[in-house]
Amino acid sequence: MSQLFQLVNRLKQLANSSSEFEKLYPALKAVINDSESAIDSCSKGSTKGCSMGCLGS
Amino acid sequence: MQYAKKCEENKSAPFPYFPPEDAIMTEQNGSKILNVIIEPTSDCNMICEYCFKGEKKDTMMPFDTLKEVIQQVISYIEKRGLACEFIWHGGEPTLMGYDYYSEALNLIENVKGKSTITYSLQTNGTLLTDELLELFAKYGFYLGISIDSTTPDYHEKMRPLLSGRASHAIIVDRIERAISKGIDVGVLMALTEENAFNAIDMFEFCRQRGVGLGLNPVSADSHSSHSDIELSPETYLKVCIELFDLWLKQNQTPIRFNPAFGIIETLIKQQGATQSERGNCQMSYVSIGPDGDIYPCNRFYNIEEYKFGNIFDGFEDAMNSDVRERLLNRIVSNIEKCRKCPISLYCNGGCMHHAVSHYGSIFAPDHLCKVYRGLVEHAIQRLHEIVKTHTNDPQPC
Repeated sequence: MSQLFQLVNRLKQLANSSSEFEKLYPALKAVINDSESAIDSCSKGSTKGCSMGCLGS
Repeated sequence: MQYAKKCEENKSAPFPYFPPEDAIMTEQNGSKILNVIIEPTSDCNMICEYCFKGEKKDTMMPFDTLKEVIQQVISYIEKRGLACEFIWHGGEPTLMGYDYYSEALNLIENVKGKSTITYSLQTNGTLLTDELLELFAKYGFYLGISIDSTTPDYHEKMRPLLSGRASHAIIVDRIERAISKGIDVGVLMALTEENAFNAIDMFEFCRQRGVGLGLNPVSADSHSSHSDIELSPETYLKVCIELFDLWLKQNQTPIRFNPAFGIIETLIKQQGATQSERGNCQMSYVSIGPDGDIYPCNRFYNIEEYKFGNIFDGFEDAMNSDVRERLLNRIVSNIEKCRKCPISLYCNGGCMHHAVSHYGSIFAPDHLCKVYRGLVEHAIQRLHEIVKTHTNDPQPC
């Protein structure tokens, strides 16, 4: 298991076990929640998907 | 010490933050959506200093051409079980007016069958009428609106209207009207060396309104040189890092901010968030100009060697063309400078247009490579700090 995988797992555990986490890092918590849902962000809208940026935010 | 640098210094040790191999998207396991950029006109009511469209053409896509596009694209996605997003771009797409979009959307809804179709539109905002906004709201559009500074001076200098009229106040008003109608809005800010750090204020502007912020680094390109105003990778990285930390520390309803959102999502999911982070963006993007010509994306319009075909010769043929086949080969393992870079699994070589415009080859890396690398390293560092602060875990690596 890569160290990144361990790091992300610890972060997820923290996010899910601490109510303080959401208050401190709501943006991060939102991404973690989203990553745990079945929805793939890539299928939600591609204008948010071009790394160059000219297709929007 | 930066992680990648540390691992470079000790080549016997593998980079410890390598995502799993199966995180790499391939055409077979990857995209479930085809993003079709439609440029209904190359014309614009602005003459922005850095516009990549170069010399404007007085061209508009006839409705018969648009009808052909809609029918052929929907037939293509139906056969493959794909969803589709129609991205209206330009030029300035709102020059086409309410009736054009009303008729187009009505046609799409009538022929789409069971296919999932979504819509977005990138605009300078100046021609957004209440009637158009209500139409876009009805069809669930995502609306990207371009504005370059929080105060008028810089914006008016870089994005002048042809009429000479000031536009900053109009655009702020249209952003607020769009929000009030329930439209999902994102602000798009083109960054040069001059306005780069105004992005910090723009983040606050967006946060107050609950809209996303996207940064578009101005770069020299094949249509016209912008080397005098091009945003340097060094400045871009500084701005991105500062914004990333602001994004992370938001203590109210969080807003999207790209590229931060993309980077963090990539790390958390261990799978690229944006198309170029997930693999070759050519797998899922294609764009069609006013004359029906089909290109990989609108950055390549009118460059013959990147033309896939024309809608009247068949969308299917264009998607199977030798030109597209060649571009699909722009994957990390075929880019020598990316092959051994662990970060390339997050950026997948970055933007193909950046590679072509700066190094003349699709098999070159993105000139903003150090930005992606710096952001990934910074994000990992921040995640470590958060975990360490809350759990007293020792720092790995």
